[in-house]
Amino acid sequence: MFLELNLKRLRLKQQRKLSETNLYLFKSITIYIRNSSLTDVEKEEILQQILDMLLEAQNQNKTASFVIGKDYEKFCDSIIKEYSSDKNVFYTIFNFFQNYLFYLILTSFFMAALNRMDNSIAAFGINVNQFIIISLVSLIIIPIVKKASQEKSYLTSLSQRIMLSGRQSGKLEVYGLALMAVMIIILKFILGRIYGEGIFSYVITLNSSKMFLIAALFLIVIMEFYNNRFFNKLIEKRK
Amino acid sequence: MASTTQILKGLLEGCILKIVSSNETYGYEICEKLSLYGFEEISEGSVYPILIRLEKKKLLYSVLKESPLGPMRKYYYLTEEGHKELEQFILSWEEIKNSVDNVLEG
Repeated sequence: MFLELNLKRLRLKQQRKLSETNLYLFKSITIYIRNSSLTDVEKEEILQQILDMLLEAQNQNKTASFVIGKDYEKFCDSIIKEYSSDKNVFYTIFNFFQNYLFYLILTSFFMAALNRMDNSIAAFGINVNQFIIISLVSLIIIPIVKKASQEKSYLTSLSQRIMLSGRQSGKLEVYGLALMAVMIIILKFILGRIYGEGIFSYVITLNSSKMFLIAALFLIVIMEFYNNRFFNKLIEKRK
Repeated sequence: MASTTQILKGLLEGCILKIVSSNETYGYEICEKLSLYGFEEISEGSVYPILIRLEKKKLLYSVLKESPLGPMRKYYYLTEEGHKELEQFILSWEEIKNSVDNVLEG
């Protein structure tokens, strides 16, 4: 974990050596890789290697395409593909679940804090309605935002970046929102049928979900350890 | 066209194994050597993904060291299996080369 942060700091410091064109290319690559499904450790490993290659190409007066090719998205895709090639379905599902739980817990706390502030719910917690929305945001909206950021990763200048951030949302986001609306309606219908309308105002408190929280955090930590396994091995050899 | 790229990728893999076998080396240096041998156009953008693949296949292993330029750089080495694969590659290449030569010479 600390090692990862050290590497990140090193990368941010070293990327300043890049020329303007290369820096924007590298930033585009960073956005593309960051929003992929790889683990944080893998992402850092990749970015570090690409930065090193770009710096050396620059030193030898070669263009970035010498190492990256003409299409950086294709380059990144082939890297992501190679990294994903030995991951099994079980791992992918677990990884997805880890991400979901992480965002679920984070936004739940945020929601609960908001509820506390406007006094709509007395205890520290969220109601079932909010839980449904948060779950769907973590499951649908966040993956879609990541995919969309990959598509918009192309940067050539700062001004373009500002323009892009204000750009209208693409098709993907629209589909995502539509899917989410449909899911909300379906879920509410099903839950309402089974448990009655009262279920939606039922409050899930911090206290009542203690066991779930501990289990979820445990799972997240285990996954982190698992992901760091290969990386630690790599570093041990260096010593 | 797709099959041509497949063949080229296989050849590049073999050549990269050969380059790694002679010296400790890293990503950029491999690109540079391939380009010196005349592979520039073909190898653009495909060296790093191939290195990842070869490492996943355990034909290469790598060690992370600080590069003179600043970032942490992966230095690559051939594994036992990598050496075997390289020998195999040289043999099949000889075979293919001879066959093609035979055809061309009629």
